Amino acid sequence: MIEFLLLLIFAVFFGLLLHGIHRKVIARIQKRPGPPFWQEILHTLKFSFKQTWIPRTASQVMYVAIVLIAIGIWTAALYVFCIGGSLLLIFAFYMLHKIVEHGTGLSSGSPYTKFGAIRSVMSAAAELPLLVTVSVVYLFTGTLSISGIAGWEAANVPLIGIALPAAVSLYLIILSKAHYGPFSVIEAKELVSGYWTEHFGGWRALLNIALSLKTFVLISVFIVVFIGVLPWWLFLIVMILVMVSVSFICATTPMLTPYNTVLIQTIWTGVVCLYGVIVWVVMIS
Amino acid sequence: MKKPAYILLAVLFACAAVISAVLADGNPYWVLLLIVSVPGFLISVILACTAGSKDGDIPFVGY
Repeated sequence: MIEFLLLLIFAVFFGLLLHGIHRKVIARIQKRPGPPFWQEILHTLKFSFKQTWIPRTASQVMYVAIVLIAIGIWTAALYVFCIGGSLLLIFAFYMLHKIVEHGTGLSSGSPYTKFGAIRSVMSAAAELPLLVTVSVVYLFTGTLSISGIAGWEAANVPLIGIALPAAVSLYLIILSKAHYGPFSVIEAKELVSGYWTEHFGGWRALLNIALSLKTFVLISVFIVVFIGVLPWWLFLIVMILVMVSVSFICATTPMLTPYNTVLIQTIWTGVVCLYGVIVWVVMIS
Repeated sequence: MKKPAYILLAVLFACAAVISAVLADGNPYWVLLLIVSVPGFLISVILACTAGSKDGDIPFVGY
């Protein structure tokens, strides 16, 4: 248990560092100096000590509970990842994150956050390829436990080579949840900060912590499921590389309209479904 | 660039990604091409979708 708590603290700080790297890379590509790498850590510490309250228009219980739920589900997801549990559970936690986005937006009573919440429902299109991803991973490895998948890869080949469309689907999920990304319609600038505009002070610090855990867990799952178990130092380097590649996409593409977001993700779902059917037919025959 | 140019780029990056993924089993250095081609593919697809639209021609830089 102590080991998990230490890992939890490390994951929070490393996730915040990844967010800082994300902002820095975007800024440098766009020829701006950008904030230092550790800015998100400073932000979170600063918000933790700011005066905070609950807006009068907010649903009081929901406003607070949703923050705690966000931290709860990603702490649980990290635990499932650590014990090499089921990939389905990780994706179930990911689906619960949709409730967090929706609840955070609706609980405050602000029109900006409500728009963000409604857009989070539309962005559910990004989750469709995940179902095919799970199926393809199972078809190849015969298991859905993360430790089982890692064991299969150690004995055979990394899945990224033979299940590239499935890997791209999970990569797309990481991209769609990244700040300032082309799919980040739920926190677009015309909505101020989108679904979490009205969560400030300590609430924002806690949401920052939850989102840093989310980034850490999603990138870790991507690496273990599609590349395999790596030495810890190489694992951290690959995590940074994945984050930098996501930042590169965010820096060079405009934010899509909600319509285009759904369109691209639906087309990709079709491609991955086709790939899944081909794999299934080949495996059966 | 025009929309067809972005679509062509997307197809090229997709081909590069598939080839590098297949060859990466034999020689891990092909992963380097994979790391470049997958984001390249996604960027091309996104820019193809937004090309010709009022806001989509120039990447949004005002973060």
